[in-house]
Formats: sequence, C-alpha cells, structure tokens
Amino acid sequence: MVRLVDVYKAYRIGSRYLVVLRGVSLEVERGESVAILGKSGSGKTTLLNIIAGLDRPSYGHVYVDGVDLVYLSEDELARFRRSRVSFIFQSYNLISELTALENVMLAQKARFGRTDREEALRTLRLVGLEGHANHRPHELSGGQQQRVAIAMALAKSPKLIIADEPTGALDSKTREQVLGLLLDVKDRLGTTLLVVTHDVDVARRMERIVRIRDGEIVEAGGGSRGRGGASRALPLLSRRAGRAELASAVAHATRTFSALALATSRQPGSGACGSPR
Amino acid sequence: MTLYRIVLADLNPRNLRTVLTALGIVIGVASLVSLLAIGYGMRAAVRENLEGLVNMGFILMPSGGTSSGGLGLGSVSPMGVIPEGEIEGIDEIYGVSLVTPVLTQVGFTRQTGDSALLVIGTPLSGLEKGLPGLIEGSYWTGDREAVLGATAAKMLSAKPGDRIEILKRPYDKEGLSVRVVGILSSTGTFLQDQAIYLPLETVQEFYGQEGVVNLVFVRVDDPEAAEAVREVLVKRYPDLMIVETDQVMQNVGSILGILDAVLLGIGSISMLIAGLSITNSVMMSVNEKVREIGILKALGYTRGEILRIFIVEGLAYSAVGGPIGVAAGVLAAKFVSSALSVRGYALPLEFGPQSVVAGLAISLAVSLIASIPPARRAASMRVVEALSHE
Ligand SMILES: Nc1ncnc2c1ncn2[C@@H]1O[C@H](COP(=O)(O)OP(=O)(O)OP(=O)(O)O)[C@@H](O)[C@H]1O
Ligand SMILES: [Mg+2]
Repeated sequence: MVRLVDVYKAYRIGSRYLVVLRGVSLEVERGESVAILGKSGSGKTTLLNIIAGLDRPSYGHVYVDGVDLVYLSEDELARFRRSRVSFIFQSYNLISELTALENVMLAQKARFGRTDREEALRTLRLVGLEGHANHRPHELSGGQQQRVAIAMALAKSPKLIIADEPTGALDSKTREQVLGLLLDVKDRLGTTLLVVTHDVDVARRMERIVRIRDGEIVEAGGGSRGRGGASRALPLLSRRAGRAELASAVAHATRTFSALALATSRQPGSGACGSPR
Repeated sequence: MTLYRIVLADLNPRNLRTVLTALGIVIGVASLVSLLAIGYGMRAAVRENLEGLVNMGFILMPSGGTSSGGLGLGSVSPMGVIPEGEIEGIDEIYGVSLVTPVLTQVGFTRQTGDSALLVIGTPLSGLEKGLPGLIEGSYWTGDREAVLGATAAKMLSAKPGDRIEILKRPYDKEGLSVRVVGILSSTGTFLQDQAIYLPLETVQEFYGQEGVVNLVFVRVDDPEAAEAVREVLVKRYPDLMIVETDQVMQNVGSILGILDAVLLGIGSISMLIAGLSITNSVMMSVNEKVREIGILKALGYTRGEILRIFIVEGLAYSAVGGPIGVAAGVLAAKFVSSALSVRGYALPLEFGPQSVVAGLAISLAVSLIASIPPARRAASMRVVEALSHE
C-alpha cells in the first residue's frame, strides 16, 4: 500500500540546511494500522505530509498503490489526494464558515465532484453527530470537531487514512471515542491507517509501532526496513563544513548530501528524482 | 455552492470592507453609465439641432460674427449681420430650393424669468417648409403673431389666442406683446422646441435691426448641384462665411470626439480605482483564508478550482455593485438633466440598452481581471505552508 524508499527531506534555513528526514524506508501493508511514534521535532509530521502527497521529499521515492508520488505534477498530486487519501490534523481541520454537514459535503465534492446531503448525514450519524449537522465549528467541542473531521475523511471513502496526532487536543475520554471510531472504520472497511502520535497509549492500539528519532526510523516492528541509529550526520550542517564531512562519510551521508544539494533547488518535484539503487 | 460559501460568507453588508469595495464598483459603474447617457444625449441634441436646422446645403453667416469657428452656433451672437439686400437673388441660383434669412435673438418672458428663449424671426416659408408642422392653431397672418415651439409652449403654458410679452432682458418692464396663433409639434431638438417664431420684420423692429439678418439657410435638394451652388456663393459673397452642412457636422463631430474622450477618461479612471479596490479586497480575503485554502488543497481541490473560488468572490462585488451602479448612474444623469432644464436648457438623455449592458459588462470584466492576481496567489500556495499558517 505504502512504500518509502530512502526518503530524505531537508529544509533550508538561511544559508544552512536542516535535514529532517534521513533515509527513511518503510513499508505498510494494505489494511494495516501503524503508529508512528516519536518525540517532538523528530520529523513525524514531515513524514506524514510526504506520504499524503502534501509535501515532496528532497530525495527518495514514495510509492502509494504502486504510484511514485515523486513524479506527479501539482495537479496530479491534488487528484491523488482527492481520490486516495484522507488526512486528519491535530486540530483546525474544519472550515469555520461552514456547518458540520457542509464541511462533510465539501469533502464529498472534492472526491466525487458532487454532493449528497443524505449520504453526508449518514456519515455524520456514523460519528454520532447527526444532531449537530447544522452547527458551525465554533459551536462544537474539540472532540466533536475532531469527529466531524473524521466524517470528512470517511466521506472521501479513502483507501488510506493518515492522521497527525488526531487525539492530541482531546481529553482521555474523547480520545478513546475518536480512536475507537478510526479503528472501527479500519476493521469494517479494510482501510489502511497511519497515525502519528507521541502518546504511547495511542500507539499501542495500533497493530504496529514505528519509532522515529531525529529523522530516522529506529524501530519499525514487523516488516520494516528502517535503518539503525548508527553513523548519523550532524543534523545541522553549514554548507562548507557539511561538504567536508560528507566527503569522507559513508553512503548514508552521501545521500544526505544529495538531499542538501537537491533542497537548494526549491522547485517542487524537480529535486526528488534521485537515481534508485 | 457550498464551496463558494467559504468566500461569499464574507460578503455581507455588515462587513465594512465588502461595502466599501462594492461601493467602489457602484461609483465606477454609475459614473460610466451617467457619463455615457449624458454624452450620448449631448451628441444627439447637437446633431439633431443642426440637422433639423440646416437640412442639406449651406449656411451663410457674417465672418466676424462667430467666435466658435465653423460650429455654426454663432447664430446666437449679436455681433455681425448681413443686410437683406445682399442676399436677394440666391433663390435664383440653379439647384437652390429654399432660402431662409433668419434673425435670431435671445428673449425672455415674465413667466420664464431667467430662462432664455430663442426668438427666431423668419419668413413664413421658412417656418412652413423647414419645420415639422403645427400641432395646434395656425401659422401667422400678420405682424405680432407668434408660433411657439413645443417646449416654449409648455414653459409658458400658452395656447393659441393667449398673449405673451417678449422681453429683451429678464424682468424688463416693457416688451413686445404678441398673440400666440399656433404651436409646433416637437422636433425633439431643444433649440427649435424652445423657440418663439415671429415674422422676420417683427423681430427686426423689436430688436432695432431693421433690414438685416444674421443667418441665411440655403437648402439644396439636388446633391449633384451642391458644388456649383457653393462656387456661385463663394464668388458672390467673398466677405461671408459659407459653411457646408457637412462641415458643420464634421466640426461638431470633432468636438463631440473630444467630449467622448474626456468622458471615457473619467469613466476608466473610476473603473481602475474600482478594480484596484477589488484586487485589494480579494487579496485580503486570500490572506485571511490561508488555512482554509490549505484544507481545501489537502482535500484534493486543484489549483483551478481554488482559483475559481476567489474569482467568484471578485465577480460577486460587481454582481451586486454593477446593477446598483447602473441604477445610480441613470438617476445621476436624470438629476443633471433636470437641473439643466430648470435653468432653461433641455438635455435629452439616452439610456440605450447599450449603456446598461456596457456598464454591467465592463464592471464584470474589471472585477474578473482584478481578482485574477490574488486568486492566482491563493491557487499557487504550498499546501504545507498554508496548513501551518496561524
Ligand atoms: N517548513 C519548515 N522549514 C524549516 N524547518 C521545518 C519546517 N517544517 C518542519 N521543520 C523542522 O523539521 C523538524 C521536524 O518537524 P516535524 O513537524 O516533522 O516534527 P514532529 O515530529 O511532527 O514534531 P511534533 O511532535 O512537535 O509535531 C523540526 O525541527 C522543525 O523545526
Ligand atoms: Mg507534528
């Protein structure tokens, strides 16, 4: 379903480069539920954005359903997002001008090019909010807002649901509700579920836990191809120092260098077509 | 529609920015429409007056008597006259069908106060053959009998049989008392409608200009003969200005061209300002909705679809402001026209469907163009950056 091959992501900060993902390789089976666990700043969101086609890697390949996202144009990527994945953020998922029902219909329209009011109401019922269809986001609690976001995700009937700390803003009771909902969908519809969290309790509810530290996968459970934590390049390199160090570094670092070089060309898409081994 | 609610929700009358932007379009369109109407009206008025007066042929006028070159409106000037004796025999030139020597003067009445009327002294033949005919009463049979133009009759509320007194200056104690005998049907041109027609001798006597006229209309019915007639006139009257009807129309045309350019300039400046205010408004709306744009993009909306949302927002301003602007423009033009008619000038207005359509079309086009730059900015935002926007 999802296969990442040697994914790098570097951000340019002034004249320096911050390498956020360093050679991430990961495979997720269809219908699997995977937690990505890691400390703040370890690159979890960056990784999810790349899998969801919201952002592009500096180097490496991202296959979703066999398609390499790296080669897609902006509009092709938009069509990929509309038809294959649903993304749930930690908060602020909803459009504040629209009611809960209209937000769900907005997702329908993105996916199918038309809206179906009855269907949207059914989806809201699924998340227990049929009574709040005409409420606007500010008239809903945090947990209710998050459930609307899940209804929006479901409205697109995606094969893959990607959630970035979906329970981060919730208390433990509503957290359970939201989590239960996502797992229920996964079980009933066979949806692949990828959840980022720094909450170990949330992570344990998934079938597999992938741990990420400083942009590298340190423990991938099951069938992962994560690298160990050895031979890490400095996270923050000046260009000159970076080059000197990298010249004598191992293949891993060479790829970091590629990532750096490619990050300089900020044109999306152009940087990511590194040669596969 | 749900999609457009995101931006259209902002467009409510409680939002000052929305109101001001729509007002910009209203003012732009209103000035455009009213200027078009007034411009068309002026053009129509001037053209009809001249066409009605001159038909095809020539106008002879004293060369010192006109300050405005060949415009032909120097007829109103008191300076420069032509002795009647000089123009005898013009009617015998081959090709000439009608010669009308005219003495035009400005007059006033007690009923109309400050408002000037045109007093036209003419032979009866000029009245009968040069104008569209009577609606009431009869032509004159003697001195001190007057035929009124349609507007003059209305202004004086006079019927055949009434007496009116013509004054040389407003509020003069004494004037020329004449009896109204007939009322002309409207020619649709204000110089002719707002005139009092009297026998030539009556006007000459009252204004102390016996034996002279200040304009001679020479009508030529056969276009083939026109050039020959002109040659004879030029040879016979080296001191008079001989203006061809065509030439008059050309001069008028070029003046109206300048008028059009000025009106167009004012209109386009106001539309430019309206356009800039739309660009600004949509840009502000884009900046306020970065997060929403991010959500839409994450849902899979393409650049084209997002572009459309903000263009619709821009178009909404002119959808609301355009029709109001057209209505306001019509009212403004009517106001100008009625203010003028109080002062004694009639300004016909023309609200062709073309000025309404032009007003609406231009406002739509302006807001379309004006909203493209901010809409493109919205469409080309990077998803991740938009989503992480505070
Ligand atoms: N657009 C950007 N420009 C520069 N640096 C960035 C950008 N986005 C993220 N980073 C940096 O990349 C690193 C990883 O960020 P990321 O958001 O992926 O972390 P995270 O694991 O999701 O953290 P958290 O748990 O706090 O959400 C951080 O150090 C962050 O400062
Ligand atoms: Mg994060």
